[in-house]
Amino acid sequence: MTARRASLVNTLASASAALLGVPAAAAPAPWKVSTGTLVFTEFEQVSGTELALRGTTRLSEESDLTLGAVLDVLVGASPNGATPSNVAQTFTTPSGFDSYRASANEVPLDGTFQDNRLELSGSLAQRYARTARASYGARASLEFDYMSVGVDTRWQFDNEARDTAWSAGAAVSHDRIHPVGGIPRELASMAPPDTPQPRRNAALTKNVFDLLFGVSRVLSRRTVGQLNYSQTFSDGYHADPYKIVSVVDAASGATVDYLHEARPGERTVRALAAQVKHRLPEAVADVSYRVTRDDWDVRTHTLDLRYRVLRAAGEYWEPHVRLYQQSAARFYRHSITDAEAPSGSLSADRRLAAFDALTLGASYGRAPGPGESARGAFRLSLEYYQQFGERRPDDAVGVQRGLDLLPDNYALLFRYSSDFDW
Amino acid sequence: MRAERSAGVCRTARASCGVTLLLLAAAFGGCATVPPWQRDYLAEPAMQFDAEGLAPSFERQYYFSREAARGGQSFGGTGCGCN
Repeated sequence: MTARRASLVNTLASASAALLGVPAAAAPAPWKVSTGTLVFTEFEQVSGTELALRGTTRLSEESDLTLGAVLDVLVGASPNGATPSNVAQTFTTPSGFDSYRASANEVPLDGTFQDNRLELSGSLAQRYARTARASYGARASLEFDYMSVGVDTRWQFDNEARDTAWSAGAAVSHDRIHPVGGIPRELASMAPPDTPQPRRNAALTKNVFDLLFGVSRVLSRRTVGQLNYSQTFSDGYHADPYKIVSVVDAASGATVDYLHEARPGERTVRALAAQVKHRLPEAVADVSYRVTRDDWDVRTHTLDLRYRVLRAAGEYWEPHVRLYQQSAARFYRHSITDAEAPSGSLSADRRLAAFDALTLGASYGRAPGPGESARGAFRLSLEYYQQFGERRPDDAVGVQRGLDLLPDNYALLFRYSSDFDW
Repeated sequence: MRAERSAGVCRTARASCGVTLLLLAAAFGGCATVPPWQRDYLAEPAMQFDAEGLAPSFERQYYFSREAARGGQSFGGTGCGCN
């Protein structure tokens, strides 16, 4: 370690300890550092790279400090919500000053999409007794059109036998969105370029409150399990300002208008998740299941299966299967007809549609055993992700019946992460 | 073709979920106490719920931007997820 780097690390740890009111350790502890990269590509849509860095150091016998940073860079084309048509379509860009086209029979994509995100976070883990510990965290996420800041805390209590742990947590975040061109008026028609655009505000906000309760338990010499329940309540602006909904002729199915989407001002999501890990002679089976439901009528099921085959020197390879299913939000429509009078909430965002998803992948890595240094730990993963949408819905009209209204979405993901002491 | 494939995924997920829930209920209802000197397997990295480093946060953020589900084993994703 160079003198300059040692000085920087010591200063950072000491300053953090002082800020948090924790007595600093006599000698500076090394940082356990994790670095990671995610690269993904969705065919003909968004590609992205995510870089993450996280470091943990011991401030005292009872407290650890963790600092992290994440950088996302996304480019490509994003579905704007409009339904495909049998003729080419022209849309106004979010700024209101330009336009872009979608070819006939293709899902309209906004090629002006680009998004970078920087997230900074810090947390303090504090041990209060042999069986009680807590963590306190803060984070900020910044995009050119979105900002989110939040704090969280989690508490964990073990029983005397230390085979059961109860946990509780809470998080609060405040989000502010200030999209390109401003916030569109809900259900207003998209205006042509270089004309007055239907805008209501420059920026709007949303507050999110999370509660999380859990229990983890040793079930046998070879088996551990955990159950978690979470409830998320959000209040404020939930719409995606860049998404629109097509209005089609009730007889022919030809597109006659585009409306800016609208969503409810509140949302409550309840989730129940369970996970079991079982040690086999030369492998570890890992099964988890989550069910969620919310007051937008979205219900989801997620089943995640991993099977880690243990090899010499802590190395392993691990196939992975994930099955996901969700029902549509009550206000989701792939499009509406001009015979309808839209009111309330309306969205054609495919993330609120009914679909199934499948993830298939495998990882290869090395995990150090108990008491070993994190040096040399790594994990390399390659995964395939596919969403199966309702391509030919029953309520399609006219020309829509011959079009794929919600084509399958494919993605390839590559992840690499490694740990080392610094 | 898509409908058949999709329905197959659904049926598999629902059946597996039911079995998983039954196993979990049976497992959490048990009272086996494992003494500390027999927790060698339980101390291994692969048996920890939070030992996967950065992988869970990568997954959480990716799915946060593509699916409607939130929460469960951790707090939700961050940012607008507008893609």
